[in-house]
Amino acid sequence: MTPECIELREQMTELSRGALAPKERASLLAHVATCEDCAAALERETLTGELLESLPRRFAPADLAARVRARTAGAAKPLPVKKSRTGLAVVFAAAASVLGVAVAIFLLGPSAPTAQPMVVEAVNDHLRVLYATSPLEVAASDQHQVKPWFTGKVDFAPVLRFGGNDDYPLIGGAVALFVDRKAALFVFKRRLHEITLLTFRADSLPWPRSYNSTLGDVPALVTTRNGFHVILWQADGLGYVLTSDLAEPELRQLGALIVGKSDAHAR
Amino acid sequence: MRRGGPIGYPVLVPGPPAKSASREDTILSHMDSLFNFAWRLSGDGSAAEDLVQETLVRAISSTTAVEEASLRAWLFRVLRNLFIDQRRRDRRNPVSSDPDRVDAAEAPEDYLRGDIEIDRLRQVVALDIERALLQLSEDHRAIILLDLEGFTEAETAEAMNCPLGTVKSRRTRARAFLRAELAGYAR
Repeated sequence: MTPECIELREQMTELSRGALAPKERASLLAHVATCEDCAAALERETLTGELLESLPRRFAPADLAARVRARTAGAAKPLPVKKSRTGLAVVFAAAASVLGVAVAIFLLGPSAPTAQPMVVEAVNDHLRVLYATSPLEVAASDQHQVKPWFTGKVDFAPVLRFGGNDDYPLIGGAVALFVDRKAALFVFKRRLHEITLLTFRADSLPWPRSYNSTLGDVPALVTTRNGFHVILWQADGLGYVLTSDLAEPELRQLGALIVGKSDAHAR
Repeated sequence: MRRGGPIGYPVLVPGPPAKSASREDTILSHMDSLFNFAWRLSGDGSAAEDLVQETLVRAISSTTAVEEASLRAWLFRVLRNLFIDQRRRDRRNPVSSDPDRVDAAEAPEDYLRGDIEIDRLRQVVALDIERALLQLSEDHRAIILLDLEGFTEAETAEAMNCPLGTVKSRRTRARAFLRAELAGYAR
């Protein structure tokens, strides 16, 4: 290994992070093209970066923000975030409004749901089912065949109150990975549309801090991503996500059946 | 039923009111990143929860003036300092401080029960990476974790309270260690 190799290898991490200046990058790549050892070292460095990036993210428990707010509710509200170019008048007005803000937060809760990673994961899992040649590991229309199949394959007992009917037949199930944990995946059909239902342990996931709909009396988040409708909710310590390109009212209807509100008047 | 949507409360900064957030919301918006960092730093979910809660409470209650651009680095610095203090206390009063400890729910046996090869492989790889990270010193591990949170070198130096050169040299050594530890995954 030449002195040039030693010097350039120190830049490989920067290269793999995309943080190397263009000139240094060109110099490094030119060297790598002629040095097998450094090419191998760069490959190892890139792989290390990819492995680190592949680590599943951990999400704070859904109630952590509420606990923090509860602990700080009575505290004075100083302004630790400097607004250097903000006029004093605006700062004073903002300080005077802090009490109003606290009341608004208490009454309404924070506005933005933070369930985006779960929605993304649900749609990705749905796409895997659509694109896989054999997506189902147990193909059966009877939930009493499908549910027991999960025993020993996931670390919880899936709760499925709706086992399919003529409108929404159950097709089968499989084990899936949802964010950082195993999930029981059920597949229903509606005409030519496939509908995936994922159920999983609900703890330590980025659940929304406010919901925009209900299934019966169960709070639910209804959203759309890449043309797919997604409905998220929790019950009995388990999380549920329904995903499909089916019309949203019909997906809500299935959601209401699954939570046990068979009148299907999901709002 | 409550419906989502922007809350029209007064704002601290110029700009469209509907998109602005209170200071508390701004601080809380870093909660998941702090939690991910704390989990990887401590290797323990409960410890991470305590660290993040304490960090957020201190930040919201603090009278320290922090430039908005530095807020993220400041929050991670507070969390890391809390973690270091906690570790020092643990060393003085050791109960269970195995640095290679991995959350019990993630023991390999749990993953090997399943029968989907791809799931198992993903989990085993994640465990190997976590174990490798936990073998690093706390300073070296923190730098790698801040990289994963998308910190620039300047932000990392700010969060670590050390010079840029130290960040670079520690990262180089940490990455070299991880490369060696994870060499088995080389193609």
